[in-house]
Amino acid sequence: MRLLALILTLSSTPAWSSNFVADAFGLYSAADTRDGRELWAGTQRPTSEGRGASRRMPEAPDRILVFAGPKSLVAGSDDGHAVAVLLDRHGNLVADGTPVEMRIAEETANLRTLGGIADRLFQPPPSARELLFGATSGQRQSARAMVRVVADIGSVSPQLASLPGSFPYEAFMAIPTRHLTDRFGNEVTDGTAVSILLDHNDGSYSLATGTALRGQAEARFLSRDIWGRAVAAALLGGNGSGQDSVVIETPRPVAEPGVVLEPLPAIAALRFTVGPFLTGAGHVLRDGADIRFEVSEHDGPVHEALDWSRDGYASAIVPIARPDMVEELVIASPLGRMELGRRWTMSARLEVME
Amino acid sequence: MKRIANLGIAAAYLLVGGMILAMAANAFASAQERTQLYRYFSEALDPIEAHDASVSWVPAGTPLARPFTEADEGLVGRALGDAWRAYAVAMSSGETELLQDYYSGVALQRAGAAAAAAHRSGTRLALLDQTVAPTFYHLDGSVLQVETEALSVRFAMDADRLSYFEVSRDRLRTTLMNETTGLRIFSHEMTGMRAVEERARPTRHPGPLAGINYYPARTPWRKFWPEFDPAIIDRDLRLISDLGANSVRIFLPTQDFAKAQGDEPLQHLEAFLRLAREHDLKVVPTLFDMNPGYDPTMWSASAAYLHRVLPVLSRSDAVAFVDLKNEPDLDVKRYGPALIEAWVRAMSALCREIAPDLLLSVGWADAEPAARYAGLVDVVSYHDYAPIEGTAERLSQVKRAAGNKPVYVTEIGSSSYQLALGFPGSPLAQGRDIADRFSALDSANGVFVWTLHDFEAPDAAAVGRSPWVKKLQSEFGLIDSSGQPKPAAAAVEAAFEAILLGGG
Repeated sequence: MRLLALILTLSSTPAWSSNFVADAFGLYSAADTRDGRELWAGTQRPTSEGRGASRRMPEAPDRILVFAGPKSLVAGSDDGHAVAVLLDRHGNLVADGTPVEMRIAEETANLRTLGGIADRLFQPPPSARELLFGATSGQRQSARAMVRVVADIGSVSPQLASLPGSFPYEAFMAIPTRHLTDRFGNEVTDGTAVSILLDHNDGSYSLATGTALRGQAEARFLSRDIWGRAVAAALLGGNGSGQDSVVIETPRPVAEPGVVLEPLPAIAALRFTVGPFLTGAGHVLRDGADIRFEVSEHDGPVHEALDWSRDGYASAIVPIARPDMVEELVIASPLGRMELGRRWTMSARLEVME
Repeated sequence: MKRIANLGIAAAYLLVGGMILAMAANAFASAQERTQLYRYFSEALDPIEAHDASVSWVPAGTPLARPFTEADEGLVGRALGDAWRAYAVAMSSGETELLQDYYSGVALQRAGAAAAAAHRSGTRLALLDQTVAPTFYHLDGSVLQVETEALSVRFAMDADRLSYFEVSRDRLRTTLMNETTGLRIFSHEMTGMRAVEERARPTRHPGPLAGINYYPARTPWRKFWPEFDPAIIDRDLRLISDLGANSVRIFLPTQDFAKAQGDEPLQHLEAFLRLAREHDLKVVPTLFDMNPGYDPTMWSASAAYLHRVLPVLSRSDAVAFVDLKNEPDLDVKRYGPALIEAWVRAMSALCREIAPDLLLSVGWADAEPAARYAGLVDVVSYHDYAPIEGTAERLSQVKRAAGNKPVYVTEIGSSSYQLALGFPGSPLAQGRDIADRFSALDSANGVFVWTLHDFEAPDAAAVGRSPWVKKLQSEFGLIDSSGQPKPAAAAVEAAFEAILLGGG
């Protein structure tokens, strides 16, 4: 029984029987060379007793990867970073202190690696263009990397181009900017968004966005609900232009709209339906336009009613008992004030009722 | 004579019919127990902490081109944690395809080859914790290099035997690339390795322990910590103390003390230790209860659990010793002895790193592994539910293997469940069994009884779903469901007195 106890005690601290090598990815058999693991750089330690750790050194650079960025740099403003990662032919990071010649645009920097990496911070030139990067070490050269330097939008003061004397009503109106350049004279990059804000002068605004092309941007508006004098401004990033006046022609009616009168004897009222309101461009007046009715009676009272245009028509009910009591109908719309007198037709529905 | 024969046949029919009915009822009860509907898969699975709990950060030693923010720490920590968990999965399964989500370039080739080799040769690598410092960060965030000091475990399994095991502090240099789908490890090299020497272990003796395994009657197993009630525990600890015990053994489920549960469970643990101290009771906390497994994939989460729990335990002088795991030998069939031994060794090593002064044990289900692995622990403990006849002999074997280390039998017990006519047990038989077991274990340094209370609803996750076993498990208590002490309570009281008078 004493022998059993001795065996049990010894087995709790076993003498490990192994012929492994410990590395960064665990253990591998010293006899197993199929993965070439013995060539992986770094600490490798045989597990057999009495053998210390060894450090497998990497070989000469074989592959150079260059990472230059950020990929879009603001001219004369942001820092850039050119980085080279150097690997030997087994994929190991090269030894610290390996010399690297790095080309940053037209300049060359002589660097040394640390942790397989050589790097240099740089300031982009003030001119917007593409910068090319590359690195060489020993007889090896990297592929080319590229960074684009773009205009400093923060320094661009947008201005509107000269605008025509007036814009027609119910037509597209293009409002372009002048040439957009930064403090160094660089054109803003194609595709840069520029907003044009149109103040209708009646408390409402329109906003349209154009994209820059060859340094100029243009936004288009449709003048269906704008007429008269408005104010335009360009917005780029946090910068705005001065305000430019814009004149949009007043819409004109094509013809006098028809009026249909429908007596409503049950409530002692009349319903006036007016339309179509047609514009000079051949469209019906936009939906939602204010239509004001003024109906005066023979003996003096004037009734007012307001409606919105819908499909070119508007209607109003006024508390007048009979059509013969009406003196005159006056309509005010975006097309102007129209005195329609007593020119109406009676509703067919009325005839049926009668 | 014929009448007697007919009676016999009728009785036989009745017996067979009764048995069929009983079997049907049993099958129906089992089906009821086993059917549970879940709306989502995730609700049915035991959640496993799978975040970057194992990664901690130290500031960069030199200025970086790009500031390394707290958000970066989260992203990179997750990338590193995920990568090493995926590598552990690849080693275990031999499936290396998944590695391309976490590794690229040179590291992908190497991780794939190394994982396949590890699967072939039965070797494993687990990073228990990682302390990471950024050393290089590209201004545009595309290239990152970090240096890591990792507590690493390397082991090899040869058939069912652990043929190599080593814990080391490794210095690692890892280069990550920010690719389309996130950060991936591009290069990974070890720049230094130092074997973790076994620390001088504490040699103090916890003294004689007369204890009781404890759960509250209405909130046993998984309900204990989420429904922690200090008033009930205070009352129960008084009962334990009144039984003459000087110690109590409790269980700290892995999931209940995971980082995701916040600090409340740790505050409850502190409260329990404080209450135990007020009742002059020593505590044996049992860690990793209901642990989801032993695979190295989860070892970093296990390490995070130890980093949370052990500081609380080491601050309290109420702790007698720490049971690393309850009955890991019962998992040998499923996981293999080598993996379980590696897990025990790895977690023991980490415990000694975190809390070197805590006495460590493993609560083996049987005496044989307790004897075999006595060298791994400071205090030897095992459970004895085996036939009473060999009880003293088993203890002798364990004591011989333990040498000078104290030996505690941390679970004995007997169910008083009675189906009929004293079968399979009874309150009286329970008392006799426990008294006999105490007598046979009189040379142990301490004995813990399972358990204080009967449980109306034992946790199926702990005892299984068999209605028969659940019935048995429900009546191991010294106090019945009405709160009355059973005859076994008197037997235990007498045995405790003997242990404490005998001095362990």
